[in-house]
Amino acid sequence: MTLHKSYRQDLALIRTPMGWMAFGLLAALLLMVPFLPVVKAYVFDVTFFLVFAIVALAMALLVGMTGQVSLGHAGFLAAGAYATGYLHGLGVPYLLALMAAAALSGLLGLVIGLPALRLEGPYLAIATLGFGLAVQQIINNWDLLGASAGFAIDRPRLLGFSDPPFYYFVLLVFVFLGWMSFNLERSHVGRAFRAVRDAELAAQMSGVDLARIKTLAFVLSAAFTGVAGGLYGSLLFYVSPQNFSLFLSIKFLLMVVLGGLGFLPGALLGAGLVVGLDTALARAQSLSQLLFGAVVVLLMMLEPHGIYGRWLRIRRYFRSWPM
Amino acid sequence: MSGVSIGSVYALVALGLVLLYRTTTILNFAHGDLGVLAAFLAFTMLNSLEIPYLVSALLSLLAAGVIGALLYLLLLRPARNQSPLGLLILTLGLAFVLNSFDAVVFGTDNKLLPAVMADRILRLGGVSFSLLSLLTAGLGLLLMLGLWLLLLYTRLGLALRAVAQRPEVARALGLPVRLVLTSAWGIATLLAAAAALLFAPTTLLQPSMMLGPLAKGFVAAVIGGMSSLPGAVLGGYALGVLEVLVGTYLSLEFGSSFAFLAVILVLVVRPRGLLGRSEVRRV
Repeated sequence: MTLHKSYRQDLALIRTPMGWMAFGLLAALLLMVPFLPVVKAYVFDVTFFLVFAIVALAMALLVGMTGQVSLGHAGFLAAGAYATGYLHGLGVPYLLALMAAAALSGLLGLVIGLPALRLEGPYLAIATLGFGLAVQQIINNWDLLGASAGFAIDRPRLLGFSDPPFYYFVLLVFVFLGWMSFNLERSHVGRAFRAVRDAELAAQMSGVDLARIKTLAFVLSAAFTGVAGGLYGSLLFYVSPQNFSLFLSIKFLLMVVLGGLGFLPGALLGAGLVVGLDTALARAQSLSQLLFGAVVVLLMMLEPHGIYGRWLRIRRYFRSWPM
Repeated sequence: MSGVSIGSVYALVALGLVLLYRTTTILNFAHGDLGVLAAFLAFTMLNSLEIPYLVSALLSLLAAGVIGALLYLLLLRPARNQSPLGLLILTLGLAFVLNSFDAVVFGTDNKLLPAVMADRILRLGGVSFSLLSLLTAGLGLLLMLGLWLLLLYTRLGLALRAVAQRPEVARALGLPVRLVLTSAWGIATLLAAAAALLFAPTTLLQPSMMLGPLAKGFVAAVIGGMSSLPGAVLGGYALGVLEVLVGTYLSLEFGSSFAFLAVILVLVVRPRGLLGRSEVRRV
């Protein structure tokens, strides 16, 4: 067990020398990706993972920490992607376009979050499902945005067209948003989120403004996903309605649940699992889906708390050894 | 008229979903794929084994019931202590497995599953009806009537209602809860299969065929109220009719979007659906 010798240590995100070592190793690995021999060819895939990891963080904030299920996050992703692409195409600087996309998605999050205050359980899930599908259908029919064909978008012009520079940009955004999420989790807002998830009435009695917190969760989650959407579109150089299907929303939900619902590292692990499985099984089309489904079923039956949940149990076992 | 016929499909799907939700509190995302499996079985029996349509349809309905019951017994019941979200994800995984199973075993090429009889246009007082639409609507209504009779006038129906209301009390009174829930799943899957068989003639038979109806079915169930079976029927027909009306008179493309926005509108006004009851939560 770690002995905390100061408040500073208790409050820090990384508390022990071991933690710093692990973090340093991870950081070094991530920074070296475009240069390492085998991994070099997968820069695109790692960038893809980072984009999805941002969405996983967003989902963890909403579903994991606040307990509001969303089956429509592809809608927020689409809003961000289309907004970024459209604005950047008009000549707006990329960062500004990205921020505008975040604002637009956040606004959509507010539009959904306010009615969602009255909903719970299956009603909330299906309402968000409806939202996601509605967004997809609307952009599918909106001629200004290319209707069913979509349109091509650029990466930030300063970075050029190759993968590695864009990878570092995405990495930067991911680190920034991840840092924000981990800090948020530790703050009074994060505690309020978890209180709302676990005992809504008790939270209200303890002074948590239910409406504000729940809506905040939606808006933040949507804004994060909007940013990820902008990066997603630029990564693929293209946006089209087919990319933002219900299937994608389901994958986002799978990421947080399989990785460990309620834990931020779990969300990242889940993102790794889903993207990894997708990439690894990309070749065998139907069989890949079969294996994917089988993995999901097995994982949910054997470890409902997800990968990170299992890791916590293992760690607890070793920490309390030999008892 | 076609609104009523597609409404029948949505209503059947919604009924199955609400039945499952009320008895086992599971949102079954594999519902559509279970129906498609039955449709594929019917297709194989019809084409490869030359079994007449009615027999194939009935056999596939029975098969679907058995598969659904086994699915619950072997996979979902052991996991029943998990959170609702976990169970939802479990059914999602099953949906993936079923979908790809269909693709691998039956192929993704476009097949055509015929209806009971060939379509004809009838003219009644200046309005033309499609015989197929009428048949679909009629068969759907018949099945719903059958379910209603089952629930109200049979012992199984009584047991189902009891378990849906108070599972612990039902068990304490000696009802075989496991058997009752397994049959609930069997019945619900049968309804899904019926919906698929009614839907298949209007579209191409392929593994993802029921994805749309499943989403609409969920929306219909929520609009009607997840705790209300009549609500599911109401929601299904309302959605079907409105979808066709909006599609015809407003704009063709936004017919579908309308459904998905409608659910948000309804839920804002009535957070538990049109006919749903407010749950009283003990604190």
